[in-house]
Amino acid sequence: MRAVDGIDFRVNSGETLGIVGESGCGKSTTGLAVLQLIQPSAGEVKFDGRSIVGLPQGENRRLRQHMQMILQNPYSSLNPRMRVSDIVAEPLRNFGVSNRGERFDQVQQLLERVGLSADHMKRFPHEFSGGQRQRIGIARALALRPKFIVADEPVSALDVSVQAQILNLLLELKEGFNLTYLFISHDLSVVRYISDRIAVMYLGEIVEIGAADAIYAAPLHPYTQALMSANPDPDPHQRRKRIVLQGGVPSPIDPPSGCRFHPRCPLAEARCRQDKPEFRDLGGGRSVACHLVD
Amino acid sequence: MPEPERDLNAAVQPLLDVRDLSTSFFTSAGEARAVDGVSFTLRHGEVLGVVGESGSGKTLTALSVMRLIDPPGRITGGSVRFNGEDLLQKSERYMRSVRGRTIGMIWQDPMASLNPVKRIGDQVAEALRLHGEAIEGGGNRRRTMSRDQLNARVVSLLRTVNVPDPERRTREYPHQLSGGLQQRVMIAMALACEPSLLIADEPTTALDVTIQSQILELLKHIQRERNMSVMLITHDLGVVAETCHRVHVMYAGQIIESADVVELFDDPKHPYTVSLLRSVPRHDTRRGDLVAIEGKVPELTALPSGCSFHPRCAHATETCRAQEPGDFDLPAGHTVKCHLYA
Ligand SMILES: Nc1ncnc2c1ncn2[C@@H]1O[C@H](COP(=O)(O)OP(=O)(O)OP(=O)(O)O)[C@@H](O)[C@H]1O
Ligand SMILES: Nc1ncnc2c1ncn2[C@@H]1O[C@H](COP(=O)(O)OP(=O)(O)OP(=O)(O)O)[C@@H](O)[C@H]1O
Ligand code: SF4
Ligand SMILES: [Mg+2]
Ligand SMILES: [Mg+2]
Repeated sequence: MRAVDGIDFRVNSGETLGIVGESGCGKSTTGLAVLQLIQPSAGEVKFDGRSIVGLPQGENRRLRQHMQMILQNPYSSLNPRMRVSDIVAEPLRNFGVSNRGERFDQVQQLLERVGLSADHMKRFPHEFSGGQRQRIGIARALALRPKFIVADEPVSALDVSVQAQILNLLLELKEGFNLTYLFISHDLSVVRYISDRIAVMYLGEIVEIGAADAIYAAPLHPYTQALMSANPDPDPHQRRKRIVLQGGVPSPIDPPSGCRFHPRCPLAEARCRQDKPEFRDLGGGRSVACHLVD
Repeated sequence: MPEPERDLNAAVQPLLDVRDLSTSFFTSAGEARAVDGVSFTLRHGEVLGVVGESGSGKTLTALSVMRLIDPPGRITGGSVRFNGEDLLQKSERYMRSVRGRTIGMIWQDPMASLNPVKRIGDQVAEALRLHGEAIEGGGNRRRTMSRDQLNARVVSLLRTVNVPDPERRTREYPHQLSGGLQQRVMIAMALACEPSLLIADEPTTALDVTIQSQILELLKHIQRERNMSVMLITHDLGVVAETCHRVHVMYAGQIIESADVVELFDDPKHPYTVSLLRSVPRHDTRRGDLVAIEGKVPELTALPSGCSFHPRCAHATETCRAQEPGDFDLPAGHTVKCHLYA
């Protein structure tokens, strides 16, 4: 089975690329492949202009310093038996900061940077709220001063008031540490808020990519249009006619012929069932895979 | 969605009238007042949204209305008048004739409510049979349905909730259905008894956004067609904005603000509601504009004195720290539990 299939995108230095799409469309797989945490069966990933697929272990390890990940579930991604100070210090220890005092200082700075205090250092993960645990995960991801962070649903498990705290923290750290983000989420409002550009995935493929403002103002792919119209907006004046898609997402084990979206697409034509639409560059940084968009 | 009809009768007696409902858990850490003096009414044909963050007491309010609280929890006071009768004074037997019959229920996780080893058709049929009994119990001598009649009703009910190929689906087991289809089956079962009130607790939270929109459209359609009342519990302000007539905002077991949906979003009064609305991105939120609410929701066993929100409130005064605010009535049926409006 191909969890993601022939996708092609770039993340520019200093920007946030958001990846949106429904469950199982391949967002996490894409993030893991970019970080080389799973090996793609084909294709290439370049970081800073260099191919990073199949690097020897030593180099791969060095690369790991520059690329980090923040995960959705702050409950399961922290070792419950480790103290916060050790959790955040672990990458430092692994990557050669051998002086204990220096590690301690760095951990303390990192925790303060993400809005926790030095008092928290000796505590265990279960003593923290969801938002605080996510802060710990972020501090750990920042420990090696990476350039690039893949954040996979970093706020999905959090209450809305805490979501805003973490989103604002991520924005602030991006400036402070000169970070580039690949931000994965199923929540269109959150992705819109944080991203410069957006890639929309459906069944393992990117169907549309472009500047966030442009895509939200005028989505071109019928799937993007349906997704946007389905996204409930917290503004009762925005109640509008929804595009209600029929059925659910088909299985990626046996994806539909032609355009993978055609069985649910309200605009599908005969050619959509047979020919796979090309992922075409429309200029202005926008690309779309749909026969009807020119 | 059009406004519910305000017929005279409904104005005289709301379908549901909850007064001072309180439910506590008695734990080693002390008494946790999970539902703390909740009062509200629900009119015929009205869609009421209950929003609030995790642990604010939304689910327990619904469970208390249905009297489904298990120890160490207990309903400690108040009244729940449904069609004028106080459910808290009724026998357990009477409650069984209400639950899933005159009041339908849908929960967040359909798999937890469906029987995994029973075919879909049989489960829906059972819900219909319950209805049959309810009618007989009500003195109406309708004969029990024949097998074929029952099957036909099951298929037609599944068709009402837009289950594709319903004949085939009746022979399948829950795990063979997607989350969206499972939720449709749950809705079909809840509708089997033609309830006058439907309580839906996070019915779309586990679903993808395009499936969520299918289910919400379906619920709206059925609600309108049957002039059913709905209590929709959700933490998603977007879902509320798009579906409800009226909204209650819960915080630490209390309803802290209540208003018509447009009024609540346009002119929120309670400092918590104001902050909550600023903390969720909407179509016109610019980057950097989201305002987080500092601090966190308090533990129920260690509630702050006075107004439970005071430690996180920018407007808190001595009065807020010392005294619990009452409910203050503002024009247009807007109420708010905050000293600023005394
Ligand atoms: N370890 C695995 N073995 C087999 N299939 C997998 C595995 N991990 C993921 N998949 C499949 O690959 C596809 C893409 O999964 P992925 O986790 O990337 O989706 P996603 O977009 O991140 O979804 P979600 O929003 O639910 O996190 C899915 O169909 C999933 O079932
Ligand atoms: N069995 C129990 N024992 C002790 N406290 C409980 C129990 N069940 C629920 N509570 C507490 O009651 C409070 C309200 O819970 P409730 O489930 O109603 O919240 P909710 O608003 O529905 O939250 P969510 O959005 O997470 O579903 C919570 O603080 C919870 O911890
Ligand atoms: S009562 Fe006081 S503390 Fe509570 S919300 Fe109103 S102003 Fe804030
Ligand atoms: Mg994922
Ligand atoms: Mg709940």
